[in-house]
Amino acid sequence: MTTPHATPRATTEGTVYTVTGGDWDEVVESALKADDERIIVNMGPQHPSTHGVLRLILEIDGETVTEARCGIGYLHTGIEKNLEFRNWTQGTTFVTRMDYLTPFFNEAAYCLGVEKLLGIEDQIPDRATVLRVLLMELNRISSHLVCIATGGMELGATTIMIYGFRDRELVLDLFELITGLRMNHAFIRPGGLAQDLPRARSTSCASSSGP
Amino acid sequence: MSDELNTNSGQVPAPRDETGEVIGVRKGMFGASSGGDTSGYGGLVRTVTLPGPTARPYGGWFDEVADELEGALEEQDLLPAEAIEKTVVDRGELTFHIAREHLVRVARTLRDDPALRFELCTGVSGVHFPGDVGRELHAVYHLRSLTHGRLIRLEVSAPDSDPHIPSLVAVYPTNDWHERETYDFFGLVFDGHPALTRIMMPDDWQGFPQRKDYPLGGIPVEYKGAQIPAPDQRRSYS
Amino acid sequence: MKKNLPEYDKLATGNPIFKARMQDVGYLDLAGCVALGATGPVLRSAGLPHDLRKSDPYCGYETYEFDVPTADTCDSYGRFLIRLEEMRQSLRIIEQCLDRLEPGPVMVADKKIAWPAQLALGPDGLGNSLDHIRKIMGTSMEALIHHFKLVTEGFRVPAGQTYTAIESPKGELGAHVVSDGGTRPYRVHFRDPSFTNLQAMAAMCEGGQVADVIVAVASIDPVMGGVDR
Repeated sequence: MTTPHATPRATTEGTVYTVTGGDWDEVVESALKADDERIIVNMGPQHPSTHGVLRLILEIDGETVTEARCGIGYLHTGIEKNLEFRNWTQGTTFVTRMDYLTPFFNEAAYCLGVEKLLGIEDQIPDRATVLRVLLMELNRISSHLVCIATGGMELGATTIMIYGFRDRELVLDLFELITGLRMNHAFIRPGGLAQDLPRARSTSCASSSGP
Repeated sequence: MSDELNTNSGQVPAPRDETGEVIGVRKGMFGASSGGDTSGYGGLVRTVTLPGPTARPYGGWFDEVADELEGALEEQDLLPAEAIEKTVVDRGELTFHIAREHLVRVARTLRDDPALRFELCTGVSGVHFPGDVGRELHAVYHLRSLTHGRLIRLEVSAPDSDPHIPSLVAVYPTNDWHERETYDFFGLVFDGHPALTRIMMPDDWQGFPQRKDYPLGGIPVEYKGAQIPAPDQRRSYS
Repeated sequence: MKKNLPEYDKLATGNPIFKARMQDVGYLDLAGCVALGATGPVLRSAGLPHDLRKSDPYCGYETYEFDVPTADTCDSYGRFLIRLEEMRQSLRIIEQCLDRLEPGPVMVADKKIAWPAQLALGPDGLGNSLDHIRKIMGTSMEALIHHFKLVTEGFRVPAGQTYTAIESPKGELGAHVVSDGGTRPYRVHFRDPSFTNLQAMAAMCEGGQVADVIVAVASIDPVMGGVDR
């Protein structure tokens, strides 16, 4: 089977296919023809400094970047298509996993959309709304902590990484107490929340965030 | 399907007529496509329609925006009736269905006209309606006005046989990757896009995954001796 | 947590190495941000105090008191400072939330939509609470039918489409939901902030140095799960 961009080559171990995609051929050709010292560096999908599987294609002239491109799609899981085959409530479980550092925001956006379609926006109980805001703000803190922590680590400062993740543990412990999970909680459902707070909740939260 | 009257602040809008776009037909009590219908209501046939065009007044600030847009288009010698196919006000949101030939000019007007000033486009979303023959592929743009604090929707359709829509990258550069993604998943070709290639799927993938005629994929799962098929091949009762 | 946040200030904010590496790196001014659709800390670092919690409030955000931090340096350092400040504002909001919690239901009252069961820890692990099971098996036929139909089939949503946007830590997260009147979403598309903000990476990095690319990408804070979905 050959696709337009896969060229087979017979070796001692069977056929080896060289697969190139998109306009990579043209990029390489034009780089070969260029006179100056331009290198194309592929900061490939797996690299500790790129936030996840991000492919950065950089044309470098010395130390200066002349052209930068992103290759994405390595983490595509087909969530949007999968949602078409699930219930509205089961959708929460999928949607939660999109931006895994901020699951409550994904769920909230989805559930607010579904509630708008249902027309029950005014009937959501106040307690559910307040708890949604509480969870979302806690999630904002944990997401910013990860950003600062990984940002610092990419600059080379590993201490800040430890600080960030240590503080994030406080927030994740709260999430575990409320929802049962540290990440990807399918907690905000269309219509409200999956469950109420456990009794020891408010005091624990106040002491974690307090002085 | 319920037919809501929008009670925005301001005028109460006129009731809507039911001639929305037909997106499917549901048979039987639950609309199940497989399995026998034992409910006794097997002979029911209902067409599913999206909310139809709304008559003026729309309510709230929608009228203002619609008037401004029509006025601005007339100034450019573009008949609003040709460019705007229909206007739908549903669930507190304003949607303009635009004819695809005039999309770029309408978008530029929306961006530049001082009373409209929809500077931020939040991207393209594609929807595939196989039941709406002749207008199967829809591209939906949401425009946000930072100066006025408003949000509207533009919807453009293209038939399956000619899936071309002009690209809005010249007007809103943010649509670059969004149009690539919509092309990748639906096969909607955006004419005038600087580099329309696949973005999420591997570069040499054949087929357009998020269309309704593309299977979900997935292998059957074996569980305690039984095989559970992939989600799109399971029995569904609705 | 409040006592831990000043540690970041001591360690990072005043640190000359931090500042040297992050100031004037990843520059994207206001016109660039709006044209490229960047929202969130990237847009706020260009000086525009645009926050969906203030401009288009949802979930009762208009009743909370908090500030929207901005910076006018348009670079990574500004974004870093904005994020630190946003954490402090979030703590403020959380305190206000805790003051407002009143006992009450947490699910909508309409039994045709509300998720039926409450989870409880039983002898064999987490499952439906025994009270609920006793009720649906013993007393109420309607409750049993509701539970069964809602869990297996789900509720039906009237046909139409909607777009809801919220302010996530990365920017504007929008959900475009289309329903065809059935029990399954017809099409859900997420406008993910990381996806759109990452497009701005090319504009930020070209002309700079390789190490600055990393700093710029870190300041955009893309989360690949959101970018790729």
